[in-house]
This record gives sequence, C-alpha cells and structure tokens, in this order.
Amino acid sequence: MNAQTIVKQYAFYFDSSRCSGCKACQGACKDNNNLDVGLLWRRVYEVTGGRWKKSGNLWIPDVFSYYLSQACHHCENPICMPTCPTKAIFKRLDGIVLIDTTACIGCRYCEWACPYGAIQFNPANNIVTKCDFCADDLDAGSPPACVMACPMRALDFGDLEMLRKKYGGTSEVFPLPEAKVTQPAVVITPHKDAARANKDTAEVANWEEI
Amino acid sequence: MGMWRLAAREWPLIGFTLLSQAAVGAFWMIAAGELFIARKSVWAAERVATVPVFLTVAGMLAGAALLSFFHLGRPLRAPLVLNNVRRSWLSREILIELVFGGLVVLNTLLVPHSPGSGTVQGALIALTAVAGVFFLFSMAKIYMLEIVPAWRGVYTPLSFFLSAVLLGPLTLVVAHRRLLDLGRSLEAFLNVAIISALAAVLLSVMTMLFFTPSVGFFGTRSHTLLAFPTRKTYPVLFVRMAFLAAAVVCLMLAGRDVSFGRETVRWPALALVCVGAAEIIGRAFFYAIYSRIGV
Repeated sequence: MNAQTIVKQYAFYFDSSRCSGCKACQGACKDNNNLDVGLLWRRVYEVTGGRWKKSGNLWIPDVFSYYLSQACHHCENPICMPTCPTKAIFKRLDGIVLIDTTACIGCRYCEWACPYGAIQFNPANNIVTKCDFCADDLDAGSPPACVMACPMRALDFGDLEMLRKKYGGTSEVFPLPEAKVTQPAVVITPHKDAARANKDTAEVANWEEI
Repeated sequence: MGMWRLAAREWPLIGFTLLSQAAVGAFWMIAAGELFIARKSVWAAERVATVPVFLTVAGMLAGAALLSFFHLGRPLRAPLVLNNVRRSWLSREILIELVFGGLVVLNTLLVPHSPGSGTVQGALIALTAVAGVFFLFSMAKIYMLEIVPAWRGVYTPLSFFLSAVLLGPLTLVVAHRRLLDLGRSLEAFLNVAIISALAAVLLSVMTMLFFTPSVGFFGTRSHTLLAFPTRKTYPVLFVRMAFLAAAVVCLMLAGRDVSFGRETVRWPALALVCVGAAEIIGRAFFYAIYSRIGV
C-alpha cells in the first residue's frame, strides 16, 4: 500500500485458510524488534479439535487443525487505553496504538484487560510492550516485518475499511473473543473448520510456545 | 500450579488490598463508635477515637501504600499514576486512597482533642467513612473487567467489603485491648458485628464455590477462556472456611477467661490470626482464578 494514502485506522489482514503455521511472521517480528526470549508481539496459535468417529465397524479420526497469526489488533476501542493510569498507552491519528515507554510504570493492569494477550511484560526493563505495527518502518514507507515475511501471503495490512472491502472476512474466529468488546482492527478469512471449532471441543494446542 | 504461581506473583497486591481494606474497616468501627454509640451509651466518657487508634489506621494505610510499590515495575514513576483520573479506575483508586489517608490524618489531629465531638468533627468522621466506601468501590472496579468473568461479578466488591468489616474491627480490638473494656454494649456490638461478618464471608465463599462464572460448580462456562481454572483449586476454599470457623469459635470464647496453666488465652488475637490466614488464602485464590475471555 502507498505510504501516502490517508489511513483512518491501520489494520492487519490474516487469511487462516492459507496459513501453514510456519511462524515466519513470528520470527520476523522478533528479529525486527529485537525482542527478548519470552516476548512475542506476534503469536501463531495452533487450534485443534475433533475426535474419533465410528463408521460401521471402523473408528476413524475426525479431527481438524488450523492456525491463527495474531498480534496487537490496534483496536478501534482499545480496552487497554482507559485502564492505563498514566496515559502511557495512546492511539495515533492513523489508529496505531502505541506505548510511551517513558510513562509506563509496569503496573500490568493493561495486561489483565487485553483479551488478545497482545500486551506483554518485559522483565528486562520492567515495563509492558506490544506490537507497534512497525510504525517506524511504516512511516518510512515499508510494510510491517511480519507481512513481508509470510511465504504464504496470508498476511496483509492497510486501512481497515479498505481491507474489509478487499477481503470481506470477520474478526471473530475461535478462540478470539466477540468483536464488540474492543472492536479489533483486524480482518480474518477463517479456515473452513473455524465454524466447527466454535461448536466442537477445540482448544489451543500450543500454549507452551506462545 | 501455574495459577498459584500467578497468585504468588501478586503478593504485594494481596498485602495492599487486605491492609487497605482493614484500614477502611477499622475506620468504620471508629466512626460507628463515635457517631452512633459513644454519645448515647454509658461509656460515652471513654472514647474510641483516640490518637493511638487513629494512628493504627494510618499505619495500616501506610503499610498498604508501601506494599503497593512492590507491585510496580518502575516504582520511581509512581507519581504518574494520577495522570488518568478521568478514565482509569487505578488512577481513581490511588486518588481516593490519598484523600482517605489525608482525612484520617485530619481526624487524628482534630477529633481526639475535641471532647464532645462537635458537629464539625462528626461531619469529618462521616466524610472519612464515606471516602472509605469510595476507596473500596474504586478498588473493586479495577478488577471488574469485562473480559474476566470470575472478577466481573458482585463477588469482587462483596469480598472486599467483607474483608474490611472482618479485618478492621478485629485488628483494632487486638491492638487496643481497652476497646473491649469500654463496656458490655461495645463488646456485644463487636461480637455481633464480627460474627455476622464471618457468617457473611462463609456465605460469600459458598456463593463463589457454586455460582461464580468460570469458577463455580454451576457458574456459566465459556470455552474461549485462557487458563481455565481447574477444580483442583477448590479445596483451598475449604481450608479458608476452616480458618473462618476457627475464628468464630475463638470469638465465642473471647468473653470467657479460659486459661491454660497461668496463661490466659488471648482469644481475639487468635481469632485475628485465623481471620488473617483465611483472608490471605481467599485473596490468593482471587488472583489465582484470573482467566480471561480470549487468548
């Protein structure tokens, strides 16, 4: 997207049906932002579900799995902002939500409030951190590192309304919460099994690595 | 174990909330003594509102404030916490805490030295007691987050209020034994108040056990919850209830001079130890059951 385009609300697009779970986005994010071990501004969730099903005299596996690559959604109504007692969390005119590292007191109240696990405490400097949409790169005309790294072209970025027009999609995919809570600036094309995950016994299978 | 590690990490908050609530509850006891009992009863000459009693409340508040610094990653930036009073309940809580603390100091300076408790002193005591209510309310609002079902409900303000009523008066009575000697009416008042509070806490623990969303046996479930609390956590609530029951027994024995050898048992102090243990367990459980809707 042209950096000169007027953006009201930057957003990420993620195509879950394309994602192979390679985690190149996660790695690129860590590399670009020089994140310490334990910090993941972008995380790839592995959702699994299903069970054995009896078919005649046979028991056959009826399972499914898909991936969700998630970072801070730079929500239209960021729930973290009003919780912050120091106003360290703020929203730019283009919708990107940032943390003023000189004002954060490390109370971690925002960490409790974010339903996307986007805000993470950094024990190295005792303040919270999160995805900044690679704002510096963006201002210099480059896309965010995660978008550039995806070999499956499952990630894209741009103005929220433009992404909605271009891809359709939703922002409510299991295990994400209802969009009305924070109005996340994200557009997701769900995996074909995402609807089933809502009804079935699906779970996030890789908590240990995220 | 992961959940208990989470609760252990919050030890400054466990201390801060319990001590703050104890301070508010203690002030409520002073206010009740001054406004409703002292002027009417036979022990009007002996007042609850003395300098040492106020200093106990101020000490508890100061201790709570000190503990809260251990919760911050950057404690030297603590003054910035008042930047967002318009929107953040955490900012509001600290502001109201400062107001409440200031009023307690003002009470210490004015009330004990004005026998007869004039209208101004009475108004000051009432104002401070109301500030205490707002302090507890703002503290509860911090936790009543939309995405945390176990904290969002009425259990949070109820448990904070009950901790105040339980810990505050008991701490004052233990710290200032003369309060128990002021008269039978006060003793009866204390026993009824504290035992009612204990019963209410038992009731609230039972309510939590059964109906709290995502935690209770019959509470609503959401499968999109991070770190869903397991029922392995529940037995600790029975330990808490055992401590509370022991505190009730201690308080019932408090009026009798039970002695072992030469030593007379200090039942109120023993009751405070039991209540303190029960409340620490309860607050640790409160932090342990944090689980949010989402990822």
